[in-house]
Amino acid sequence: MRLLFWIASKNLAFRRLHAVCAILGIAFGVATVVAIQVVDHNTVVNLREHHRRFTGDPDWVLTLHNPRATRVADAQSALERQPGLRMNTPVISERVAISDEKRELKGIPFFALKPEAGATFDAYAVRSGRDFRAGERGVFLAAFKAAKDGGLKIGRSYKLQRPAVTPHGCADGQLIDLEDRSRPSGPALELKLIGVLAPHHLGLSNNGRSLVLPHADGVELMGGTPHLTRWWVQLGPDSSPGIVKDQLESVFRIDVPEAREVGETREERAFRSGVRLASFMALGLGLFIIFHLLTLAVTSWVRQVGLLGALGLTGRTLAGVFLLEALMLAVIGTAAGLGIGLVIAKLMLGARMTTLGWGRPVQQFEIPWDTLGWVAAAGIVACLLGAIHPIARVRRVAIIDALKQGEAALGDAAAPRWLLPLILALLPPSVLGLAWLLHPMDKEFVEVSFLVTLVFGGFVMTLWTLPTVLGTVLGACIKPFERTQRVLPYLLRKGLARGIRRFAGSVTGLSLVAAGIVTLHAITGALKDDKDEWAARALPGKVFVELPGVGRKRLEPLRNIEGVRSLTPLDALFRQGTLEVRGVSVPDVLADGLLSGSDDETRRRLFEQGRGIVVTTNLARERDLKLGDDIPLTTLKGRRSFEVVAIDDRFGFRPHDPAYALIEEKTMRQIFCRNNDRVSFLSIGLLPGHDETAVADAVRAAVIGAFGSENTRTWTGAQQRQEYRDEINADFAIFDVILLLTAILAGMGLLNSLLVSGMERTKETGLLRAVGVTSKQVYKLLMSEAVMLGLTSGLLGSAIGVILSEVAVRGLASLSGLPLVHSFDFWWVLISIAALAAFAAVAAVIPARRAGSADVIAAIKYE
Amino acid sequence: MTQPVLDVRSLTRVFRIGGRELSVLTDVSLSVAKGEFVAVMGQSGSGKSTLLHISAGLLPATSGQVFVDGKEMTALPEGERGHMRRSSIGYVFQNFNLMPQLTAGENVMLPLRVNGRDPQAEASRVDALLERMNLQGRKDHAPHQLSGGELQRVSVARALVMEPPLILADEPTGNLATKTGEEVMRLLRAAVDDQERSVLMVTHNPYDAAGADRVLFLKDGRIDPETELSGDHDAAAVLDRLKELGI
Repeated sequence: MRLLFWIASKNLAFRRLHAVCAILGIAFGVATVVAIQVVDHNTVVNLREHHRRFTGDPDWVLTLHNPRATRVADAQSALERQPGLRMNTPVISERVAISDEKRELKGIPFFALKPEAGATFDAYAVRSGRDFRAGERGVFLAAFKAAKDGGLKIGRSYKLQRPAVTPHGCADGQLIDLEDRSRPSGPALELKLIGVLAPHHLGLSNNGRSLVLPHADGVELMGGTPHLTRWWVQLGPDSSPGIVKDQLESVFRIDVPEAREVGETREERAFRSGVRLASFMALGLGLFIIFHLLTLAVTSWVRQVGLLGALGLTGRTLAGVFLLEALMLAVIGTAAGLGIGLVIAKLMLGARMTTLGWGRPVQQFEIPWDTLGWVAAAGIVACLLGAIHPIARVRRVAIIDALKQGEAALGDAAAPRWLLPLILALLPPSVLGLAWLLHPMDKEFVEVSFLVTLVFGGFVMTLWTLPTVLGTVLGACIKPFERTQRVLPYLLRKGLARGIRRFAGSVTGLSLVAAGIVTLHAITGALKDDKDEWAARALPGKVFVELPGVGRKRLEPLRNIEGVRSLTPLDALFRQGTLEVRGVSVPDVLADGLLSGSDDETRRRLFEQGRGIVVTTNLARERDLKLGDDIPLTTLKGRRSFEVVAIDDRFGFRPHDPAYALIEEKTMRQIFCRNNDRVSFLSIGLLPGHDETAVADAVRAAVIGAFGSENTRTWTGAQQRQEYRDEINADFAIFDVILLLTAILAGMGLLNSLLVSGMERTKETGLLRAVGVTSKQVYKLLMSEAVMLGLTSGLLGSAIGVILSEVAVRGLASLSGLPLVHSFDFWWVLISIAALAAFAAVAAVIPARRAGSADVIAAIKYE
Repeated sequence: MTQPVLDVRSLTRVFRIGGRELSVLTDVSLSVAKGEFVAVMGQSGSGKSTLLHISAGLLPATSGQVFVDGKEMTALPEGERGHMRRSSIGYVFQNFNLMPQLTAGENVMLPLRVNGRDPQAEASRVDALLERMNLQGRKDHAPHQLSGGELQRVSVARALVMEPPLILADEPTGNLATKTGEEVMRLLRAAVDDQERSVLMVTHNPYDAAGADRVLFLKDGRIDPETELSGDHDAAAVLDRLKELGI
């Protein structure tokens, strides 16, 4: 082992630049994937945490469809009997006054849940004192600021009392029942403070001013009948969510908390899948380049293999030397890759670049060691595989041939016949396994990755196994130039013929970069087009106004501005589960041309009667909705169904806003106590033929005249669309980062290949110089080879990129359910060809200068 | 009679090139006794190097046997042939074949390491050998910093360091100037005379061959024992025999 380590370390130290390039190549291959995996992990973690920062972490939230018809106690016992649930807790969310003899705090929110549920649902963390004991009553916990403001002391008892309900108030986002309006104050309870909550989840609610009570005490505080009880449930580890859902749905509305849905809407899935697919392609490219680098590293030692063999080292020991060398490169490169990847991820998250777009909340940084472990293992295995193939070939070279011919002896040595079929056989399960390990349970992702890898792999194998075809084609292309220029094309052709395996390997790696450029552009183009289509439907002919919350009637004068057709306030909105519903008046809907056709009469009536709902195309896609379908919404009077009367995008305005629904404004006020009485956001519809900018200017002048310039803003639909496009471009910056990392990776691979080529041909270039070829001609020769490498890679890569784009966009469409369309962009093909040629030329400068300026005698003596 | 260090019996080697069979060695027999220096001469392509490669176990024989230090090299599997090369054979190449990533001292140390010896314990032996080769100031130099003669002396030191009973030298002066070539020959001769090593050397150089105890002539893949030169012979005698044989 000492001998193996000694020789391997000498090899690495001798060709430092080569080793450094190999290590950096491996490192950037691993870093690209690590960075994307870490960013994706933290995107989800942070967004989940953002969504549940004031609440617990249940799998589902249940609400009774009809609280009048179903008693809370009955629902509770049904839940206790329900198989498939690990834990459930009823949750009451109300307000109380808390007091002692010295002071009183009014309107403090409290949450009442089962005493044992806190830890299960990660609902809060106790900073000082203690948590509830199972079944405990007569105690409570106070959030840190509530304890501070009220001077609450652990161990002391306080009086808690629910205040009288105001006749026109809302409870839990819904208008309170008539009989509740007269409800007086609740009974006063004497409860002992046992702990203070840390600023975590419920402890953060109401800015740290809230209380947590045992559920039974909460019920008593509410006089035995809380306005609304919700349940948090956690599914059992082996339960089938579909079956449990079917069994519960007759009594409960089941909402999946937003935190659990992070990244799971169609658009989010499309974006994340795009990023993952891109990073998976980068992984494929990275692994190939690692493979190629190791192949180069090992094949450059053929003469040494011969010598060590002549000195009596057995084939197994020799294989050990090179496997150890590969392992050393792999371990150092992978470790560096993990470090670089984490730094890149940190920088990306610091710039708020996430796998769900730009600007998402990033508070914490977690390292998903499990995933990174698999990525690191994949990197190391790729290195070792990269070494096994050339070692197998080197071992088949006769010692004498290796000593006499060096690397040229490899020309006729094929790997053992079993090796290629074995690699081909192992490739699909390895890719599937890795895709599964990186994204478990995501069957579609695994399938699409597999498809992409097959195209990728087929291409790699073709070029890798048929370099002679490439050599013949390139030779035929170069030969005509020999008529006019005798030296350079001839030497170029001969040089290519000699090192065609290395050349083919480099072409494969670089063409994957070209394919990556074209494919990534196709993916981002398809995603951008889809988003822009929504903007094109929703935003033209609109002017938007932001206001400091003014009475609706004060906006009426805006109707007199020339070109204004409708004023639609968009303040009345509420969320139920992940559905956002807005209240819009019938005249505004009609003024915008929606439901105004002669065929729409029935649907218009349904909308007017508060039984119809308009959904956006995205929402319709998300929930598979068609005209005439019902959307159930839960109200305090029971479940109420709304029939889909139109699928339309005309009332959207925000960049992240494509999925929402509209109901009639009065219905919104009656059922959900939300209204447009005070307006902070106004959408103005324009009459046809009027210039958005001119109307916006007139509106701006009127708004500033009436309400001042502070807290007001006016902008056009076109500006909104541009803003939206800018945001989309910022969102897609992550793809550019992947591309940049891929380019660095390819650069390392290319530089390495050219360095090896330069070293391999040191003697040859020395001889050429000795017979009169000038150093400038040697420089030109190597540069020409590099440019040829870039052009060939660009052409082949673009061709494969066009095929890959089709596969990737189709795969992405099936992953996300979005109607993504692949549009071929010839410019990107040209850009990728030109970029690779330039890239190759730049990378060739160092090796070409080294070869051109090498000492002729030293070069001739070079072994 | 003592057992020869190298015993080649009825060795035949046929190469298949482009579907045609080319017989390079035909029924060749020779032996090298302990403390004997044998030179083999012949035209280019006569099979001299092939004879050496088969003797070192680097090439398989088509038929015939090669015994090194009493063990039949041609019957051994590759692993054991490697072991024989490590312990019983030192090889001097025409083009030196030093490891470019190792210094002169490390190249000499390489066979010791390959045989699992402790490099620190063997350092003095390497130093002594380098001194004997007049390379004491070159120990830490990389191969590209050495002259041709120095490179070949390092190569000879590497072949001698394990004190193998048999040294195979493949045109060891072929790439050297006359004076440096003589120096290398002197070292090989000293290994035979002072340490009782056995040397089988192939060469084109009649002056080098004249320094051997016996000279064998390989013609058309065969060695005719009748043509052998032994006892006192000088370069002129070698040249005469070459002329006589039309080599």
